[in-house]
Amino acid sequence: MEFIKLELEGFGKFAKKKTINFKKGINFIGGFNEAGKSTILEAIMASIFKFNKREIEPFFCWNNHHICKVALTYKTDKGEIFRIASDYKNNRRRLEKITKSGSKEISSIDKNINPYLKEHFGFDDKKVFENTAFIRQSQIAILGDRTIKNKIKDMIEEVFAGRAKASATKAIQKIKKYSKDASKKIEKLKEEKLEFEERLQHAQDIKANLSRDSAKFEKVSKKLEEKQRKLEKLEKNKKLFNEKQDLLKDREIVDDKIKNIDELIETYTKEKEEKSTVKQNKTLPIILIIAGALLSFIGIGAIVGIPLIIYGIYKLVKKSEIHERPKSDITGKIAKYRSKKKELINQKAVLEEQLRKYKLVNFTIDDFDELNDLKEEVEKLKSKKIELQTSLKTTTSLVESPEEIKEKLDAVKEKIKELDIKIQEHNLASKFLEMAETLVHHKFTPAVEKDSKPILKLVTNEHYNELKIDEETLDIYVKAPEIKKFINVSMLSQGARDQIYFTLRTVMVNLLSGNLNIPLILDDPFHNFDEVRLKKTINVIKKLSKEKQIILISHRPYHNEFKNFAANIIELK
Amino acid sequence: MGIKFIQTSDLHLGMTFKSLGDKSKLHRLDCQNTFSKIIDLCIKEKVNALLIGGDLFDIAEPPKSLVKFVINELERLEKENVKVFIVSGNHDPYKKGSVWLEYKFPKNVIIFDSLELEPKRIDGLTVYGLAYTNDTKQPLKNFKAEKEDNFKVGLIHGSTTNINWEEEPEAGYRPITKEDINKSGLDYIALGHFHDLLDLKTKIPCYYSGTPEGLTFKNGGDRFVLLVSYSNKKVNIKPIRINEREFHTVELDCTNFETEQEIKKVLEKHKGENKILRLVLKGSPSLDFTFDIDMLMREYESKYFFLKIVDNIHVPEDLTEDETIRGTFIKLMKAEIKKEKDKEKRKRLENALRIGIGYLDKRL
Repeated sequence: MEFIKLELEGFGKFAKKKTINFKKGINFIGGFNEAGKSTILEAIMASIFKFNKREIEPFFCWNNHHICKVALTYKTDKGEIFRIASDYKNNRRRLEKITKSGSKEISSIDKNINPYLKEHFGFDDKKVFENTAFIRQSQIAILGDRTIKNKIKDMIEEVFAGRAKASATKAIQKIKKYSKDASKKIEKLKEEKLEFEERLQHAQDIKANLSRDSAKFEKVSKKLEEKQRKLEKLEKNKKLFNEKQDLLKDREIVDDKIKNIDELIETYTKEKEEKSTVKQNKTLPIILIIAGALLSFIGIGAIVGIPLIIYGIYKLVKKSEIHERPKSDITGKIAKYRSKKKELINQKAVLEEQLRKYKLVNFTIDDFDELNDLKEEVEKLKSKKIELQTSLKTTTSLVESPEEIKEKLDAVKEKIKELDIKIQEHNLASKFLEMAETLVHHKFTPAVEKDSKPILKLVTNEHYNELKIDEETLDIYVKAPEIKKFINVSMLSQGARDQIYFTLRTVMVNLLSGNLNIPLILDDPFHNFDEVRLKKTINVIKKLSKEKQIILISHRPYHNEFKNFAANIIELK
Repeated sequence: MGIKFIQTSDLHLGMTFKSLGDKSKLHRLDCQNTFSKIIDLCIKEKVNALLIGGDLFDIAEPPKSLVKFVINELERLEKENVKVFIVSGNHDPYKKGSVWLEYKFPKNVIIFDSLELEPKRIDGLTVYGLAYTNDTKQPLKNFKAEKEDNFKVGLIHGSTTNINWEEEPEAGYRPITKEDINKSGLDYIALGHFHDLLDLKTKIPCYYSGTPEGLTFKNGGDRFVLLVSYSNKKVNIKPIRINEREFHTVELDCTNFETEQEIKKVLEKHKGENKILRLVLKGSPSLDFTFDIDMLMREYESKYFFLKIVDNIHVPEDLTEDETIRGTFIKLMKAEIKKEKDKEKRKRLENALRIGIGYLDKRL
């Protein structure tokens, strides 16, 4: 494939319409800095690939802000000529086929244009194309840096990868590292989760205990109440019982008193009666004395008479003694006792009256046997209640709410889940990237080896004829003719490395584009080269240009230094 | 002097907010604060009554500490001589063991316990309410309010039928028809159960106050209580914003996005200490578009009360395939994505594609 013509208008530096014609071989675009050399490259890109707003805006022209047009005319490997034209201001794009009779529109719809471009240029990703077809100044500079190892290998790798400075191997490593770090995080989260689970279990246990304890508390409280009620009742009964007992005792005392008084009254009444009897019977002792005296006068009769006299006197004397108290005194006493008795009877009546109230109190002392036990039990229950109450209060203030722990646990679980998904995704990414890497390396390393042969011969004047690439590591070896052995390219001289690098890039742009002979675009790559290296390199690309169209951009006037160096010289002013 | 009351409902006190992760507890407290703010408002506005249209609690047997809080707050109204009319809702139904029977509420609180609409009167205001039990009846069917001079208000927890309200799925509870509303003979009907402020636009004014505090992402934006006043036979309804936090769902089509910056713009625009944002990223931006939710979360989480970024992004249809590793990787992943029928697994693969390209292009 070959570029034929680039047209620009209102693009970057080029406000007015500008046409650049390309030829086979080397096309040298020269000019001072800021003359718009790199704008030419961007214009090629902006023709092939549709730039988005952000990408195109820097190229809008400040003194021609109505127009921004680019168009590239090119010839495919089959020999067909196309023109792809973009009008960025009006957002129009058009692909035409150029024939001898004129031009014919293929399509002006992106969706239909893109497959054509993919077929013609091999890539539909701008950056991949750039990374494959362009050789930048910075890349070649690295090639000359002695301190960087495996430069060619790295640069080959980035072309394979499809992005500048990209490395599938490194990307895979990074992705794997992410997974590893994430797994560590998950481990930590799992520990956290376990902790929460334990705390949850603990809180639930405590809560269960709490509800058990509060049930116990309720039970104790109820029992206490019940026992207290029973105790109160019993104590009340005991009191009634005691009161009744007291009353009964009082009644007994009163009864006794009454009995005594009755006896006294009886005694005094008898005495009084006796006194009057003695008075009537005073005659009897006197008769006895007289009879005794009379009998004593009879002599022997004295034996009977004298005792009679004595007995009579005795009786008489005795009666006199009894009647020492006067009769009126006794009567007073009796009256006094009688009134006292009346008083006592009244007292008893009161007691009886009181006792009547206790008619229904029919306890025996046995009924109060359990009173002391009950008192003890109530005391025990009281202290138990206080104990439970305190423990409940303390536990309640300490316990974490299971619901809240569960919320935290759920949050951790969610984090684990999210991270786990991320790991899965990263694992998938690294797995497929590894597959892609293996596939590409496997497919292209033998092809690169094979296709390099003729170009290597060409650029090295048949000094090197063969190279090998390690499919896995992409290490590059060339067969050194002196020793007939393959040696790593990093062992070679600067000049040889440059030759091999250009060879590989030429081959790779073709292979990766699907065997299209895509032009190689060199963006001022020899900037820092010394005379010797430059001369050698110019020779290399001159030889390459027989196989491939080359666009070389530089501010250095190579065309003055090297005769017949370029097929086409475009000088920008 | 006219009659004034505040209408609220569906506070769902004690609710667990699963979607808010570790902020659930804080938002539970927000709901309590909002309840306190409603009490403050009642006092400030010197209203005659507070009407609660059901689902004051999220469950019928809420924790003791929560009930105590509510009772304390209601006692503040008792001191100010403000009556509180409460009907139970489907979340806190009136049943044995429920908060309504287990606790002693202050004297100013009237809890409806009847199965049919029953009037409770204070000076100038008659509130018809009924207890919510598990029976789903049509509470306004064949109902006619008694004629009187008082401001006659219905307080019901239930759904309105023949009113198109597709956002609410629980439409089966306690159907109330527009016809029954207009025939009720009431002056105003205060409804609970639907979570958004809603004017039923019936002949008799009938409003859902909605939740005073957002509970899910479905209840976006500001939340209100209604200040309802009645004088000279005229009803005036004034919504008053009361919420602590603001729920928002923003769907963002990222198809034409080139950088994360565009997401940040949206996050910047909505930020706020009281904001609860769910940002749903949609569309199929190009593979050059990289976003790291973790990084975005780290940067913006503290600028929100709660932030959730949901990744519903897909890969574009027209992915470039070429012979490079990048192109081959895309080709392999695309084939795998196409094969995968399971939506979740397909999303895993799409993300894997984005991750692989992100690392390869050194954007990750």
